[in-house]
Amino acid sequence: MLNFFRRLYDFIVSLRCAILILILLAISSILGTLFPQGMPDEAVFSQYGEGSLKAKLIIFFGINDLYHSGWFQFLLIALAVNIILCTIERIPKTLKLWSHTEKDLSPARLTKFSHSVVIKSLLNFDRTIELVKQCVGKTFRAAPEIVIASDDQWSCVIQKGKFSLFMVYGLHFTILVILFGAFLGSVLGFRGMMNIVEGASENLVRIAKKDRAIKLPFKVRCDDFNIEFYKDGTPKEYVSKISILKNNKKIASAEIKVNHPFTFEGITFYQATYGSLIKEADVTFIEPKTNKTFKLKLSPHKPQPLGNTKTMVHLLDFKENFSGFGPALAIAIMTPGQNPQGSWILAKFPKFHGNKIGKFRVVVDDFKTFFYTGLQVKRDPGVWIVIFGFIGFVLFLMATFYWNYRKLWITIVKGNDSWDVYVAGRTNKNQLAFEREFHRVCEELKKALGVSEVNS
Amino acid sequence: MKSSFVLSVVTFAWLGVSVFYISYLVFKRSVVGKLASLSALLVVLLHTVGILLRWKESYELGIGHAPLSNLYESLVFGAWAIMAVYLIFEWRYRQYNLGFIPSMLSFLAMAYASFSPDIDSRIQPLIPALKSNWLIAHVITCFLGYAAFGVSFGVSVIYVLKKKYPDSFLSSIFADLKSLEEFNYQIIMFGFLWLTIGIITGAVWANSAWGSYWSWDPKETWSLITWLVYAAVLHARSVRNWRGFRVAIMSIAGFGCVLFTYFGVNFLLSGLHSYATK
Ligand code: HEM
Repeated sequence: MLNFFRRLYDFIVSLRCAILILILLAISSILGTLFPQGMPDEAVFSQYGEGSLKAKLIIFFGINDLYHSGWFQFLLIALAVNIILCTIERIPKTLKLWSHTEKDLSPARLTKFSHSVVIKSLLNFDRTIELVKQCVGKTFRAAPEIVIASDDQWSCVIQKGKFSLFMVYGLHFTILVILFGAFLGSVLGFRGMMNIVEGASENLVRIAKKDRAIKLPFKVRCDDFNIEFYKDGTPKEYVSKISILKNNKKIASAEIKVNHPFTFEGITFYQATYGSLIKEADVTFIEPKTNKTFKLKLSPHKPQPLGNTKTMVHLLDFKENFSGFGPALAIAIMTPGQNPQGSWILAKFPKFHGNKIGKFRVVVDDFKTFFYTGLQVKRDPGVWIVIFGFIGFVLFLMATFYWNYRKLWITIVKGNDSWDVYVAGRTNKNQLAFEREFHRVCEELKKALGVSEVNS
Repeated sequence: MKSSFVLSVVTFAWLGVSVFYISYLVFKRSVVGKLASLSALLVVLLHTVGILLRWKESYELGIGHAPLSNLYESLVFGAWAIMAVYLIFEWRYRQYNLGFIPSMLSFLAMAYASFSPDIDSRIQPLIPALKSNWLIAHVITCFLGYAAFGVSFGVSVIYVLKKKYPDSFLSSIFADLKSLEEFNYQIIMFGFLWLTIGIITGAVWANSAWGSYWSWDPKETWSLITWLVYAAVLHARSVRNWRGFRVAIMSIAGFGCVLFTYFGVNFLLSGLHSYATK
């Protein structure tokens, strides 16, 4: 049993597990792009068939709202746990590398490095040491740390960018910061919609997909909503002018456009949608047989009698664009003792044969609408943490990629008829650039010592 | 001069450049390689002029905006970015012989943008959602990432061919496998960095336009998947010590993800991104 847990733990802290989690996350993300998201369960049944296996599977695994499903959240938590454990597991190794001290700087070891050069100096021992120290310090731009300084051997190591060993930790830590910020936002924040008719004020925010509303501690009044168009008719700007009211006193006002949200007391308002509602309409009813006409001024919720008959006319609904035929009004007539009759009346096509209710032809002479603006309302206390994490991730990414740990080993020993300078180098990244740097250091050394190299 | 004229010249110029690069492979004369490289530099400059002219023309139409707002403009910019990124690396790593795949990709992108009946090349006004400076930052950074992955795709294909057919006459002209591998790694890192910044600027933009920095829109999700694939490449290389062939294969697969994120999502899936509507 213990063995099993040991093996499980070893798997959890392995990169293999990380890759497995990342692959699972990728596959489930793909699934989420193949199925429409945010469909209520009823819609899934009506699309894929009531009681069909596919629909049942989709609902069981929450694929219609995949990114908020339990198992997807579990994968994200598993990723976070895996990163934390991997880090804990790895830090000792990095620390060991960090505090590693060199002992063996024998020529035999130095010649085994993939970057390795021997230079024969014809100068004396002290002068050679002097020049090597100077030259390497200047070209490699780091101070030599002397390891051995005896009568017949002088060895040093020169290193830079050692601190870069810790950058991967910063990198992975910022992933945790981003996940934490997202988590905080989803627990403490909310997101919803608010439709406000021009001139009206509102303090309820409908939360998406849940039958829930949040009451803001202030009211938002829509003073004006406007659409600006380009010459060719495409929309240029949607602008809502709003005021914030507290105890019916205006305490702030703002202009909200797409891409220009407005934040008040931690709550941000975004221009999301708009629509129009009918205010009033001038309508003429014509009875073709008798050519009698009735002129009416209708507004919603205020039925009007048709002349001095008992028939009442209701303005029920309005559509800005009815199946591509422009604005249309839903009008109904109710006569006591008869079934109500009604129809959509096209405002821009007065001769349309369908503009008829019962025995009447109906013509819309004029109508006035007013807009409502649809504001997306959000509170997300985690967003700054997420952005902080983003910035950190990019900085640490650059540090891991382009800041590397480079090290030179140098040993000077007595050769046959000269002092031999063994130079070896290694880097953990960016091999080609290091190769060039190593080459340059060796060339400078040769120049300084005034000799040519023997082998490399 | 009109930008549309300049850009159609550029389209065929890319074909010419890639013919130069191929001739270099065939004749193996270094003067041809230098000529290919020089012509690529000149065409990039001309391409830049074309993009700047289009920018200026949009102001003359009274609807001024950076030319990065629809599928046509993004393809033109993408073609520019691939060769710009390639030339930076060609110059830094002194490899003059890897250019035929990137220049071919640039030509194909330009030809598709110019000749596909599905793509509207007119300068259109910006819809409100796209009116943001984040759009410019987002598109440029994403495309630098995509472009680097395109170059890496080219290098990977060459690597795989060279590995599989070490004795073919094409192989001898390319750098040794070790340099190719290192070159490939450098360019994947470059691409990963820019794709990361691209995803982040996109998120920040979405946060100011829609009130949510991440809404699992298909395009967003696919760019995340692409990002995960390249993260896997980097991990496989640095942690599991994968090198060469396997990294090249993963990079080829990664570029498949890039293409799907860019085209597939537009045509097969629906979402917030306006390029979907041409
Ligand atoms: C979305 C998740 C992750 C991203 C984006 C990411 C990114 C990176 C990057 C960019 C590097 C540097 C590669 C290089 O040196 O070239 C790296 C290195 C590394 N990552 Fe991750 N990582 C992620 C998750 C993880 C997880 C979950 C683990 C835990 C096992 C992990 C373990 C490592 C290790 C051990 C290195 C060492 C690199 C080295 O020392 O050379 N990573 N990661």
